[in-house]
Amino acid sequence: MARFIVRRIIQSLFLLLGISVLSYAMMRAAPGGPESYFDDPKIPPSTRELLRQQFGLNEPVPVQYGKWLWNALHLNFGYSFIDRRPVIDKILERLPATIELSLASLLLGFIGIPMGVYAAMNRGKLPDYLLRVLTVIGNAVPHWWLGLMILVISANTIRLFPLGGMYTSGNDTLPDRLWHLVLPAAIGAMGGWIVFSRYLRSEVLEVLGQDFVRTARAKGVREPVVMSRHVLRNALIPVVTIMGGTLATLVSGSVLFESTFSWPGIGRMAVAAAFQRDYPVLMALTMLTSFLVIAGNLLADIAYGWVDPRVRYD
Amino acid sequence: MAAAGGQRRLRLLGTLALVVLLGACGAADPRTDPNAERAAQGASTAPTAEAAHTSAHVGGSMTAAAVSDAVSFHPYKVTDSASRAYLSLVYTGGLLSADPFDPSARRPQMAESWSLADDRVTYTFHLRPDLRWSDGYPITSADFKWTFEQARNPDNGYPYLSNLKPIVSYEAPDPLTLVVTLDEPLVVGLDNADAIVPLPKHIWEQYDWNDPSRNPEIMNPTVASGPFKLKEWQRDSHATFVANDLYFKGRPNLDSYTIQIVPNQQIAFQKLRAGEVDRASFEPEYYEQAKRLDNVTVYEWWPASAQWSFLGFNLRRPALQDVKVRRALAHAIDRAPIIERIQFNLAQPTYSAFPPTCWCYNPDVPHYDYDPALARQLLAEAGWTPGPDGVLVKDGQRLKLRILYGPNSSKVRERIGTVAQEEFRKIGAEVELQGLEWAAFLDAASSPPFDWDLVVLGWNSTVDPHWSYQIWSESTIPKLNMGAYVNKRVEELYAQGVHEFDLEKRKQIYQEIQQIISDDEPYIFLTVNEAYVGINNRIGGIEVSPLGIDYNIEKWYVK
Repeated sequence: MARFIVRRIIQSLFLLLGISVLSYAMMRAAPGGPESYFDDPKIPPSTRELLRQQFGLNEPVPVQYGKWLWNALHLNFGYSFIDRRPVIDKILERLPATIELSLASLLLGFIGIPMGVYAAMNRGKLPDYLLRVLTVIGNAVPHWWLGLMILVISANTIRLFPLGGMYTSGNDTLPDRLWHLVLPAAIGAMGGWIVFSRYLRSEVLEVLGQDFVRTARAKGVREPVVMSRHVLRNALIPVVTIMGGTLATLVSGSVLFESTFSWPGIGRMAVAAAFQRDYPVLMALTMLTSFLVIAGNLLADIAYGWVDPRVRYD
Repeated sequence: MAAAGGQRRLRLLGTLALVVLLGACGAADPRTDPNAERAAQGASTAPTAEAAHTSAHVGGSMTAAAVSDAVSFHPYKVTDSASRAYLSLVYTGGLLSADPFDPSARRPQMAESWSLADDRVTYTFHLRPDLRWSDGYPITSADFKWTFEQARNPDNGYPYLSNLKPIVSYEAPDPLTLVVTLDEPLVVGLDNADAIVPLPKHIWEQYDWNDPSRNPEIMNPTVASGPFKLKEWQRDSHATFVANDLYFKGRPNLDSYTIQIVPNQQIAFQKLRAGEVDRASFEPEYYEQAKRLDNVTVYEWWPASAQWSFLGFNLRRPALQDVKVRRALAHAIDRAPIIERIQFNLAQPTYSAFPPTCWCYNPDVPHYDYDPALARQLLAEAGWTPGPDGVLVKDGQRLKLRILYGPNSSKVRERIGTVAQEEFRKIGAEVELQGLEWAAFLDAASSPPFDWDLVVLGWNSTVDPHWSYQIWSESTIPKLNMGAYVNKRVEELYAQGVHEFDLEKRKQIYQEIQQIISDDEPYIFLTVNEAYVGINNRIGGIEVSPLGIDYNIEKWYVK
């Protein structure tokens, strides 16, 4: 187990290095540069030149990458080209908003688990069909679009919920925040409902057909105990994998979502940084997200051994 | 409004498309949000003597929707219109201001009077004695001078440093007097001399000029000279400003003004309609719908700093160096459907380099109106004959046109590009249309290999015609003058115009410039756009002018 973890960590470090080289190269291959924020043509070329110097963009790209890497290894991600603030400050400032929304979405998304179990237990009956149709539709519709439609419709009819934003300015209270959270969290949770309910339904059905379930029932174990001890525990294994993947989204946020709901999170900052060619911010966000994806998967693999004793590490 | 320089700066309209009109605005509705109201009132301190307004309108708050957030509150760092909109609330710039109803005239603002010495280069400004920073310190000529000195220091990287170049000396002989000497007598000298938005020396002096980590004022200005003070700024969410009791034009009626960031203009419009914001800019296709709303008034004006759209030629291309080809392509474009279907009638056709709102406008320039037959004839005269597949050929070269537009998110530009593609095809050209994200577009349009034939773009023109020399000058190739248009006579005339103090003679000079440019047709001038903004009916005191609505924001009130 310990050897497995150490090996995976070493692999992950190389993976991160590879990601950083690739994303740095791709980022720099995109046309334009951070001076495009200074796109006002009245700015003289000498000023642009001064800016390029200040940003360190005059050196060859590999040298720039080397400097970036050296600083990044010391956890120094530099300063934003656009507003000259430390990148870390900018990210930390956005983190609470993104975590608030994605955590709420994730927790609400867990409702998909009982939904899937319920569908499996009512296989072939109305609730099962209904759930299947709804999940297919829900999967086919882009969620940001659905969010936008809900906003447009509720703007034109009764307004139960605010049209985006995190709280009413000047009224930053818990009820107000929750009220703003409902719509985006519900739509964010849709992904969870769809994925969890589909997985759980098929897993539960599969496990229900296993010999040990029949044995348990045959020896007179009560149905609720069969479900919780034998069926559910086995059916939940794939959820662990899915959870490993969600660790990164918890922090990286959803670009489209945060945009639709005017949510001041990481996702929107990432988009702005991409358009402005704010290289330090982009690199920091890429590395943060990559790190979390890798860490999430590693954690999921470790957790596997815990939930499924059949898994062995070597 | 913002820096005096703001009005004479030419900007690529592309930024506008990204950033939306400078004033996209809206406000929390105090009827549904009593807490906002109370908080705002609590934050504004007890009214002082000079803040004692006679009107019964004082109080209330307003929220404006905007699609872009500011970058910072550093007047000598930012270049985006969102930051400038924020800055104009907090810092007053301009010893003088343009008369909103006669924008080429200047009237006193921070200076109560000014004079020009006989040498025509020495301007003396006398500051109003009642100017105060929001912390009670007087605003003096020392603030102006100190700010000027910082901005002029090349190490401080002021993007518009060239604005300060005409200033030879900037003196503050006493706290209420500023003497500015310019390098040469110019008609636009007053604008050149009035180039500084003062910062509070007594606060800023203790901090670093450049680094926001060592100067908290850059991100969070605590002392204001404008109508409002910053109260709270949550990035990409909202910025709340509260009334500055010591504002020299009188405390604003509104207790607070909030700029709320929305993801796009569509949502801005929905919020306006739902009453969640009081002010919003939106796309032309929503205009008719907005006019029908009971709770919203759409204010519209033909701006003195007109926005106009054009198709610009790349004159490096051999085929386009022939003026007959350029005129032919101009005759191929029908402006009527562009105005009607793309700009929803919020525009008028234009044929000149200067907008009809300018005193210098020349209505008699040649009109290359829609006439495909004439277009084909001109191309035939230029030696282009149809090849076997119908595409025009000259000396073995096919007439291939590559049209670029940016940003690719701009529907209006995309549609104009599509119309041009269609029409050019009809007269026998092979046309490729490509949209690019803004930074990529600027890069492609203004750096080698210049692989394009036309760009779909817009300019924001300036109130004084002089500043437009920048788009026709050899010195601004390839940035502003991306098509590489060169006409020595035009440059000569611009140089004459800025030295000509006789208005009538000056007018003739600019009329000749327009005549020459339209003869040369380096652009296909398309339309001049009307400006408009939607405001909730609960807000009063708004008076539309050629400079827009924001010039008297301190007089706005909640009905």
